[in-house]
Amino acid sequence: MKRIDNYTDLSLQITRQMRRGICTNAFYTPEEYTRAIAEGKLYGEEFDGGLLLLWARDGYDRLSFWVSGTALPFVPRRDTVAEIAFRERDKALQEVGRGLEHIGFSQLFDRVRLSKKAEASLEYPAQTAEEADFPQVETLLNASFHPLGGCLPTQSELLRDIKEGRVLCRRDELHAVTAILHYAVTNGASKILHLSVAPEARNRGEATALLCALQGITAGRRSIVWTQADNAAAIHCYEKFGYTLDGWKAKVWQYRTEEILW
Amino acid sequence: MVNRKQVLEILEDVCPDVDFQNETALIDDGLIESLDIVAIVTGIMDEFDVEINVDDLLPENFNSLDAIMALIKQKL
Repeated sequence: MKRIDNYTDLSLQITRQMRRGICTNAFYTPEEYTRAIAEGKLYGEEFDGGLLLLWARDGYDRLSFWVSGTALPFVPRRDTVAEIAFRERDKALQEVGRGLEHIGFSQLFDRVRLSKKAEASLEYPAQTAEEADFPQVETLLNASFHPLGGCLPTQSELLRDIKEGRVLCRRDELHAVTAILHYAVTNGASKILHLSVAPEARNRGEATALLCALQGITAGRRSIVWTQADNAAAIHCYEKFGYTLDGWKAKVWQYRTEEILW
Repeated sequence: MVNRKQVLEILEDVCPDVDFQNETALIDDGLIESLDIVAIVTGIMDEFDVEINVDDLLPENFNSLDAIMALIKQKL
């Protein structure tokens, strides 16, 4: 894979892939591509039948693709994660998973998506995490999410989102962060990226308070969230708040360069 | 000349359950998703022999039938 140096070339490469029957999991904005290129974290390889992109993350790579068929001419050099989101009808896209298996990926877990329609919302007190909270926020995230699940932000992404007010938090009487909700707003919807409550603060309504805060801060716009398919507690929590399973599923695949048991 | 019926056929082929004639917030309301946009774009490129590039994949270009038609006209 070659490091991608400029967005113009990448844009042409992606445009070349846009043909009937193409399958992709690469739904990124020009800003996301541009940022990764500027940071020297995006690598790519165009081949007969597609384009592979590798996003360097903290400690692993994330693979995205534009492919026709299931052939993926790629040998990972370090731990790599790929996620394929699909609906039942997206059969060709689901088949790309076979291509991942063929080159040594194994399935890590499934995710399901829940969504909630836009609705009028009331103002709700919301606190945002501050830069000084970064270590606590990072610790909470690392304790709650799989390190190779592909969803954890890099340190620089997390710091940026804290500075931009996209990490809501709850605190205890000592001002320590006990729960966080990390979100983004894209395509007219709020997307919950992470919701995490410290073990000692559970069953006190902290998650509900954060969901109310998000609804207030995003003016009740449509909202989506992905969660692990086997996390019944999380699904129940979102359903209580009005989210419903909307038919989108995802499979997360990992390639390990050495076997470590988590 | 962009034929509205032709565009509608492409859209309904990708998302048969969506009311493209009347909806004006296809992306904002989550009626079509990124995956659908790729299928719609590739259909449009084939049908109208236009080149739509990755920079055109903006929500505002796909929020309504009129916006999609405007994008095609711009590319012809």
